[in-house]
Amino acid sequence: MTTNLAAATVETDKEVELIVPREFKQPWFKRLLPYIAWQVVALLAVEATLAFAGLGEEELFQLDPEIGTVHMTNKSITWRKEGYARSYLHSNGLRESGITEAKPAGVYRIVLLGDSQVEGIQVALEDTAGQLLEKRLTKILGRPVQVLNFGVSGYSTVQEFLLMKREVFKYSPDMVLMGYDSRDMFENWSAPDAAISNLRPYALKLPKQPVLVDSGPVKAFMKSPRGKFLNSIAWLRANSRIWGLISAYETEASSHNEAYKAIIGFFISPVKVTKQFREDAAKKDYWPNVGAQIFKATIGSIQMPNWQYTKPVAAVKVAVKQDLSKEAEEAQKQTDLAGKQAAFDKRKAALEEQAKVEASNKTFIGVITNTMEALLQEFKKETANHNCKFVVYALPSRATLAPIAGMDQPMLGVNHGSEVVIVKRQCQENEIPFIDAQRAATTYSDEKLNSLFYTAHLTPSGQKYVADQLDVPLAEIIRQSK
Amino acid sequence: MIFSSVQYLIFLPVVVFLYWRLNGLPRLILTVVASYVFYMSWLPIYGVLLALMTVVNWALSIGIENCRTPEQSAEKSSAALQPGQTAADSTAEPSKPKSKPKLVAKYDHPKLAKAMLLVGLLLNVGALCYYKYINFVIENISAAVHAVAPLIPQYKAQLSGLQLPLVEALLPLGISFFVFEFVHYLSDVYKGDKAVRSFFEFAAFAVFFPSQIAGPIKRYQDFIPKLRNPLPLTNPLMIEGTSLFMQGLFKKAALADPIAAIIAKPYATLDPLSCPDAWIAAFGFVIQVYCDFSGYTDMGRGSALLLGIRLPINFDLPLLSTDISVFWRKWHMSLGSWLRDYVYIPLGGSRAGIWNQHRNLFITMVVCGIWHGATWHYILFGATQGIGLIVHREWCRVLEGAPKLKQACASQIGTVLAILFNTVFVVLTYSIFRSPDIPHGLNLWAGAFSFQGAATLIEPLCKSGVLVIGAAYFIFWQTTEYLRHHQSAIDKFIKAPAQKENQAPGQVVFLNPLRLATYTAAAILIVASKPLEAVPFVYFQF
Repeated sequence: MTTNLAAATVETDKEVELIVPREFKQPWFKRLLPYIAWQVVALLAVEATLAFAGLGEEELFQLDPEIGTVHMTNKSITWRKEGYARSYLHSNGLRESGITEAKPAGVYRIVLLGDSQVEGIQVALEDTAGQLLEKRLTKILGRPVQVLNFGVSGYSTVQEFLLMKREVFKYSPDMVLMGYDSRDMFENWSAPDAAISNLRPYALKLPKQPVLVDSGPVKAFMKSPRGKFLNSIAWLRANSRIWGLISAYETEASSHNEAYKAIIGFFISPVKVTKQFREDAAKKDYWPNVGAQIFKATIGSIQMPNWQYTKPVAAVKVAVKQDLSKEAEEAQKQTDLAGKQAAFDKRKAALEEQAKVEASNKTFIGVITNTMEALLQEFKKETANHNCKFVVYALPSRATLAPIAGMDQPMLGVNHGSEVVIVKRQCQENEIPFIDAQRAATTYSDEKLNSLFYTAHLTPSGQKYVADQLDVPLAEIIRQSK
Repeated sequence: MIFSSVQYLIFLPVVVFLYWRLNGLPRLILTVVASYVFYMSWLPIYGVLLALMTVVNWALSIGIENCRTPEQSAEKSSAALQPGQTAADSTAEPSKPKSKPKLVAKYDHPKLAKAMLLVGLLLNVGALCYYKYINFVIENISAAVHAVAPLIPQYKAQLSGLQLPLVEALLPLGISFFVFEFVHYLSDVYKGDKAVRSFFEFAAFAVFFPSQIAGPIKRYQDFIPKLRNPLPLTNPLMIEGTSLFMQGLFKKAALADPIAAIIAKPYATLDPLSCPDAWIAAFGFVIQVYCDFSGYTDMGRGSALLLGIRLPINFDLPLLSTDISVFWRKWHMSLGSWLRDYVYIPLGGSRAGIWNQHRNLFITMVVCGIWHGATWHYILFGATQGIGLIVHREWCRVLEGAPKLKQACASQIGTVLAILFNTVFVVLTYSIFRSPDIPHGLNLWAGAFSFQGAATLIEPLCKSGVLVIGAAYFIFWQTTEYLRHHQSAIDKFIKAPAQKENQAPGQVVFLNPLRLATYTAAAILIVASKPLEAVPFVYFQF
């Protein structure tokens, strides 16, 4: 700068140019250009590396204006959240390869419908219950059986119904096998949130009226800032592995982070958001709140020494040990009381639950269960129209069998066990074959139960357990239906 | 709080910012307070232990120095603590361990000084032994008593039923490292080096967070001048610090942790292992522990550089060593030099004949093994290293008498073969180190030399993407190092817009577009590769 100033005194006509260093004379976007260019190069290099390494692909939904979400097509997935599995979703959204709409001659075709427990993206395709069933039924029945897994994470019964009507019948199935999972009946009537797996149409059955299926919430979401944002980055979502990595964080931020929501809103409707921001910023407590949030998210998140735990470590360990020994004692007592007592308790509890549910038939749960029943009837009617059998089975639920912290809590006092009782009764009343694939696991030890599940979803052992429960009853149903 | 946690990524910039806003005593206090926050976020009570040990060691060192004859205390016996010395003098090159000076101090009260030294050593080593070895000793006494019981009929019942209670205490994080530093400090002060008179300086030496949990083991003569006169926070320093930190984080989160998950199973079973699986597990662990420990050191050294302090290097591509002696000079270098100065040389070193030298080497490496943990497989590991070093010494003697063989060994093929042979030795002995006990380790050896079975670990290894990510790390490492050392060459092509027109040639700019791009790439790859749950550093348990 000194040199430039000295020069400026000599060459007056170039004064301005010399006093202002050249780089500051450049417009900001030109100065930014090399940074952006190199960041793009870096991102492309990372995309290539991740593709080569097979990492970072956990995005598998595309938005659908009718159903909410459907599987992406021609997309490879590496699932690492629970378990580890690599999958490829073909052009029809299925993991199974070589599936044609036209059913091969002599093949008995079963379509599986359900949510993530049926989808089984956490395990390799060959370990899913569907593929195991295909092999076993082929062997048991002595004829080729093909199982097509149409399970999609987060699906409710109404989504399964819509998917069946739109896609499944193209494949001329002989049987539609619907897996009932925890909360499915409540999800037929749930408000959408930031996670697109929770974006659903709703179904409603009111007395003396036909069941109403409405994709209104999905269409409304599509018009929301977040819906528009997700649609605008559809290509990125389908093709970028880096996006696959940040997708989960993005969903989390969309739920809880006000700043992130504001940024997304700004990109979608800048004028509206700017106007709103001006109004908010004028309020007295706006900036202190922003400051407090920033502090909480940064320095405030650093874990400071917690003096609550400063008593001698040995004492802490002894206390923990004592607690553990008490727990072990208690567990032993529980084991001793197993057998008849446990069976009696479970039966009693089931009856109580059933009674509880029946007593509240006139309330919200009544509407939910009536809707569920109406949907089951619709399933039966549609499948009958397409000459195929409709079968329902209850999936095992970790929340009921081996709950861990943070699991789904019972909805309005109704747990998965009660839901199964209700669905079973509805199936019986409507003459729909029903298989309870949860019941056998209720007698399992904790260790065995834990081997069936990751955090929430089925492990390969869990998938095998489901296939074990279904193979013989299904073979029987198929034989009888001939 | 660990270096690879999000909390640390917030903690470090805050500390760095405040550090450079302060000067003198406030800066020193900040260093100490930040280090205690870092340490006590794990278990606060051990912060008190560390503080007590710091006070006792400092007081003893002052006491020892006060026992010297007046002329001796006034002498500047240690080059490191001369007041006029600046950090630049001692930091131009990474500090290399130096041989310890002979005892030069003269004492008015030699017995008192010696007593204080012994008290200090007993307290430090006693604390380490209590937390690390007490249960090992109790368990082995119990086993010995039970074994002896049948031989003493009159006390058989009592001895057989003897159940010695085990001590319930968690190992304080990093206790070995700060005990080693205290032992070094007291020993050197006793030998004649100047004590650190400022309590806060000594406290900062004892708890300095970048090296607190797993080293490198500092020498106070090297550290205190750097603490007094830190390097100015220039662009090259920031670049070096952040590059080192990113390299370390990459190695730890994207390589060491995924490898740890892949090789866990073979080390946890006594079922027969196939030959390929055993070798994959053995090689995998050496790579894992190298990436883990050198990654930690790099992150620590990088953090310290952002505070203007250059910590000693701890690893110098040890897996390319041609023999086990070179390996131990390049692997965990600060521990190697500590063992040399405070175990090997006090035992007599190489002064009293070849057999005594062999004995000292063996004892030193067994001590090294025991230091890792109070179990027999660590002792076996140390013993194998000691035997390896002795065999290497003998081999060197053979070579001295066979010039042609020596020439052949020095050739390119000889060097490659030597690296290969040494690596296999390291890999096999470290498999004992990794195993939970000796039977598991021997099971892995049995698998390795069974020469049969299928490679079941190949699939998870390939699926994890760790091979590709390893290659990506190599590119990142080379790029960051090239960018650091060849800034002017890079500037010809990619000039940072923030760079001034009249800037001196070769002057570096931190916010270079290419550098930021490499950081972005590294950060994404780290997030993509790291396991969902954080894996503790291997050396935290030591």
